[in-house]
Amino acid sequence: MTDSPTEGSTSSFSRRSFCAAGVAAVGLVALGGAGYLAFADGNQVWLRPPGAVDEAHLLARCNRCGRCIQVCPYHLVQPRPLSWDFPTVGTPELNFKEGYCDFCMKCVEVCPTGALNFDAPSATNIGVAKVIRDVCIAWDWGGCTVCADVCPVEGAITLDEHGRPHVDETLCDGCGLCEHDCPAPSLRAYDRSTVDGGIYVVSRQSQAAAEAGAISSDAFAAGRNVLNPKESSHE
Amino acid sequence: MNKMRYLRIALALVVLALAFTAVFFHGDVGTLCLLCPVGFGEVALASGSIPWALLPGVLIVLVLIVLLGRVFCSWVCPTSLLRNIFGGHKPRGLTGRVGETPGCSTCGRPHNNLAAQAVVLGVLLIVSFIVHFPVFCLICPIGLTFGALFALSRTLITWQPGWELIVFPAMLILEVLVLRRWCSAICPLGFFFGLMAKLHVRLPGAPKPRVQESACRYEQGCRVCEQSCAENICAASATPATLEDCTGCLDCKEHCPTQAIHFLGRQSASSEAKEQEPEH
Repeated sequence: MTDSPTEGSTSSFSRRSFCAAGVAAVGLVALGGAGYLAFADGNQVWLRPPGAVDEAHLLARCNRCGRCIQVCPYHLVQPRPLSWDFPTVGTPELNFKEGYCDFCMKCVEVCPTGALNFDAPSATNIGVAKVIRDVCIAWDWGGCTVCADVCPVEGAITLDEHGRPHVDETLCDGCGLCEHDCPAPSLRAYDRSTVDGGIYVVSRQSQAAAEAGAISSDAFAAGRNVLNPKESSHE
Repeated sequence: MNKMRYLRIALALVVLALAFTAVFFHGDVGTLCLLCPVGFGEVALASGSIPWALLPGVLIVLVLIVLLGRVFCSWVCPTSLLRNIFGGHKPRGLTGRVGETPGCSTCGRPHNNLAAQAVVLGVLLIVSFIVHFPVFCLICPIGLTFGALFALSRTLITWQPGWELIVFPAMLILEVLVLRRWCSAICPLGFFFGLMAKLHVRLPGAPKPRVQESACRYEQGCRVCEQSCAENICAASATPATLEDCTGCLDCKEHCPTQAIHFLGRQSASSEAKEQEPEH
């Protein structure tokens, strides 16, 4: 039995096939190179599901199979959209629009590649909530106590003498209930600036998390997805 | 008329619909990415750790290809789905636009090019190893299809549309309908499936087109099976090597005017003899 009876007689076809393969190979090298350059400084950080390993390892392990997205009971796990950081597209990111994380760990259970696993530090601590001081209703006008009322972790959000919320960064586990329930987005619907919520959960590795206490919306927007240099040096 | 074609479209749509609706019913259905040998290799090399949980699915698919032939390509793969829906009236197979009488007898039948696919596979594994992310997943038509579906589900849930909704379909059109040779010359999955198909055609009793000599009108000049086949395989004169490209789409069985083609059942004596004496 010959393996390829038509091999010799289809040289022009083979040649064009190899041209196509060459084009694809060059495309893959270019894509890999562009992706490598996009991450050459390695300073992007996103709010990942619980159990996520660090950014570099998550990017290497995640095969974008979508199981964590499918299984999340609260639609929190969503694929990262296509952006200039295109190698991250389709990798899981948390979005607290539909609910908050109760650490049911279904996303970690179904992950087949170890991109999410029970041994990662984030398995019990997704991130930390940051109050945006120029958006938060309580900081601006006073009277709103929603985030402190709903927070399921005793003492993680407390109100100071002016009734303004403060997050205890050692207690907060980043469940996102405060972000989900914050009424500022609807109360400030007239002002579509960079951020509309008064409190957001950010990755503990981000620059926004490194800043102590409540932060300005500008500092939040600038530091939300940027790796804190101190975190990267001790890694 | 094209009963099998509609059945193939339906099955591939069911696979996509299952993955998409699982988002809303919170089912752990997964996607075809869980079964991907290329993804397994990419993740292993990019991360330096072997994703053992992916291995059973990958092995099951490879064994299924050995047992059933390359049915994944024509019945499940979103690439074939798009080609079946948007590819025009004639069938489009691994080599793109075929399904008509070959132009000349000397140029032979276009076929799956394992060597070209191996080049792509080698390059994507090396690049993934160097840049530490699975690079082919970003352009794979299967990954793009599921990526677009999840972008759609995200848009419906969070009302945050993304550029994927435009870019991914555009990339799919480019890869599937413009780069006709995608399946036969580029697809690195096709490399694995092609290797498994080599085992499949030698497996006795495995489903593949078998011609009942007494009913076949090949001698009288009938070439319906060859003309209806997206891979231009003439079932009546096919050698095992030619049948490696068969994706089990069943179009030949459907269109054979004398119903002489069967996929199941014992091999007829004459086709046994043909296997022992290849034409070339």
